[in-house]
Amino acid sequence: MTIAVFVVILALSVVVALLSKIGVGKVDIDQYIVAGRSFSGFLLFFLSVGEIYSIGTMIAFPGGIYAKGASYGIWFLGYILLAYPVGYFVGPLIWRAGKRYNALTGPDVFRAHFRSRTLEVITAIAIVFYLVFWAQYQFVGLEVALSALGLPVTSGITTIVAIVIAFIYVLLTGVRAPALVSILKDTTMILGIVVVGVLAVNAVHGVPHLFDQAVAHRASVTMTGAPLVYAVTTIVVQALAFYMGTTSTAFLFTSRSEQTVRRTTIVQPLYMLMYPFLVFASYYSLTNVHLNNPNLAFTAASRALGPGWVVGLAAGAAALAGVLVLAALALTLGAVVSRNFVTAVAAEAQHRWVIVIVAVFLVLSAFLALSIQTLMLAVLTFAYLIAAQLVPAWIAVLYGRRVNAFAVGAGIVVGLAIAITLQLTNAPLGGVNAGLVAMVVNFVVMFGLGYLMTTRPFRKTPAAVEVEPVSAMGPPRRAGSGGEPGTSAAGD
Amino acid sequence: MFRRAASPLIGLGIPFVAIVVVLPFVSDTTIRVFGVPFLFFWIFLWFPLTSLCLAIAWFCFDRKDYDDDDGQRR
Repeated sequence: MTIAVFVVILALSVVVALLSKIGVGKVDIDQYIVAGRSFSGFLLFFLSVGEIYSIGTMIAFPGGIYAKGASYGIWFLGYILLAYPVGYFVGPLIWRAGKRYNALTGPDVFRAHFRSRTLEVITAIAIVFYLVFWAQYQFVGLEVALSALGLPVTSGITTIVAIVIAFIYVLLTGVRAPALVSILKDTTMILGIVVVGVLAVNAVHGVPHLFDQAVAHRASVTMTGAPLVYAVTTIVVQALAFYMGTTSTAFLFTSRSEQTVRRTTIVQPLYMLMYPFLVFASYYSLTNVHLNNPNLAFTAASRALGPGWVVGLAAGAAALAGVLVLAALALTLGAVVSRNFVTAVAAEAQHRWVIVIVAVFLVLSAFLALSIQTLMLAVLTFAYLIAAQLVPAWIAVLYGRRVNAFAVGAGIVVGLAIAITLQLTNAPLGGVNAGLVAMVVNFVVMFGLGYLMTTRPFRKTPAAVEVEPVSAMGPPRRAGSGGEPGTSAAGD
Repeated sequence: MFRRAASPLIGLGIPFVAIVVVLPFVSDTTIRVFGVPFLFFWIFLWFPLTSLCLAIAWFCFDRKDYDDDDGQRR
């Protein structure tokens, strides 16, 4: 029964991905990567939640509570929650910048806004670096979800199946398939989480008893000292990086308008109301199940509490979440490599390049993932550490007037160096998140250099300042992407 | 002027204060609400309240800037 439910969920997802092809004509690169900037609020919502509530929600979050107690749960919830208010304000501006420069990727915006090929490459490297960690995060989670099924095959085989399914999504219609599959994934995920959460509460006769047990077990339900400092600083840096650095940035470009972006972020926090059930399941595992690998916390609760179909549902939803996010992030990577690294690729050929790069990337990162075993939230922290170094650059695009390409590039390079050094050396920061320290230095370098380099006056039109649409001023001055209508309209 | 500042204050300021400033003061209490430790209760409470803050920012202030569903900004 477990395996039947699991297989049905994954098979259904491929059917849904096939459906995404209906009504879509010729798939060119714009359609493929940003769906021709056509998504309604409904599809944008599901693409976003599909990406945000990845396998991390069902595997890493309970694992974090199991291993580290309340503080890990709180920072996980806190950064996602606060990302939405940030997204409400910067999201529409990022969308506007994408539209202004006809961008499909973040580095497209940086190249056009700062007119710098070097900056394009620096930001592209940072994004690829981030994506490698984000893929690790999904693969480690996938292994856990699949191990819950107790299949008589090795994790290598199940990982290959996951890669093939992710590749099928991307191959069909690019970003449309993940958006549609998200609807299926989020339905099964909420169902799985709520069922296991309710079973956990019932098993111990109510919520008060659940936490009485936890306290008696000396599980942490409060936080103070360094874990508290870590939780709060991590919330701040990751909430900022969420829409200005991770794959969520590029998915904003699929929206059909600025107000669609805004309205989508308003309802997003309500989706988080599923988390109390996950917290219940996590504390149930913490007090009732002994585990060597904390990442197993949620799947272990489903096995201890539910019949076979519940285990299959939970594992299926988790696996679907992992596969879906892998598909979407591989698509982002394919776009960045084919557009921002390799410049000689003609627009018509980029589509084929993306497909090849996606395949290579999926295989390589699967190999990497199979060779590591770690607490997933540690991988998440590392990915965000890198993503956060793009925040100052985005702020410069959205609001800055005096910052030039050199200042932005220097900030990113310094920020990355500091972030990675601090993290790898475990520098004592009293609990402060290393990414936050690096991001602050990054900001200081960027604005400092921007201010000092006054010998070369540099005025840009930030995305926050409106310019006339290109069509109202006649045809764009340069053909293709990278035209910059902003420079003549404001500033001088 | 008030309108320009009000939207970020309500939509961004209030949720950030609740989580980043207030949360450290309620993070080490043994008080429980409906059996849930206060720390978790507080963050659960802010899921709907954050949506509410954003809805106020949108319906009371920012929506005026946009024409219609698919239209461009004014």
